[in-house]
Amino acid sequence: MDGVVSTQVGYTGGRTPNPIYRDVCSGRTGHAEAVEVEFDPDRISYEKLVEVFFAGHDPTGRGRKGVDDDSQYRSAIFYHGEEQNRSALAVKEKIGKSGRLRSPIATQIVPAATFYRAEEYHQQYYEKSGISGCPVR
Amino acid sequence: MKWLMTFAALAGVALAGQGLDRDRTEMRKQKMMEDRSTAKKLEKATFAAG
Repeated sequence: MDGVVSTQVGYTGGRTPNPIYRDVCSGRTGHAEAVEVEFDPDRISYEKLVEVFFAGHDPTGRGRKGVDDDSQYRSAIFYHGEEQNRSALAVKEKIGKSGRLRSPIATQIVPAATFYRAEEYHQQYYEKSGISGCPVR
Repeated sequence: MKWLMTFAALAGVALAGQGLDRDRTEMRKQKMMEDRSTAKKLEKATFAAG
């Protein structure tokens, strides 16, 4: 995506410092599997990123396992600063009112906490595994 | 006169050399400032989607 400078996947929003994948899968850390995006706001807006985020998955969590409050698979936006918080809430409200979704949005909007980079084999997974068809590039 | 011309030519080369150095320094400074302003401009966004 134009304006996105780099991405890394990792774990955030939980209680355990320096978690590894196995810890997160145990369900006891409270961390979510997340992606941290570094972007140039002159080339892509935060609102646009939030829209892409909502379009890229089912934010209602229907039919998915483990979408409760601290599941590793929860839908969440970890905002950096009040401006991002306001933007994320506004986009969430707009999509909620659009009638595109049949259930309420379950996405949490919470302050960003320490982000722990995941193990190297998780990074750029689509490229490494040769899987094509990632909807977001 | 020959000495003067030689001197002028040498001085000219030296001055031109200084000018080039100044240009290079300016270019380096400008590039550093551009790099810094780009680094400052970047922001982070964090999402979890299962």
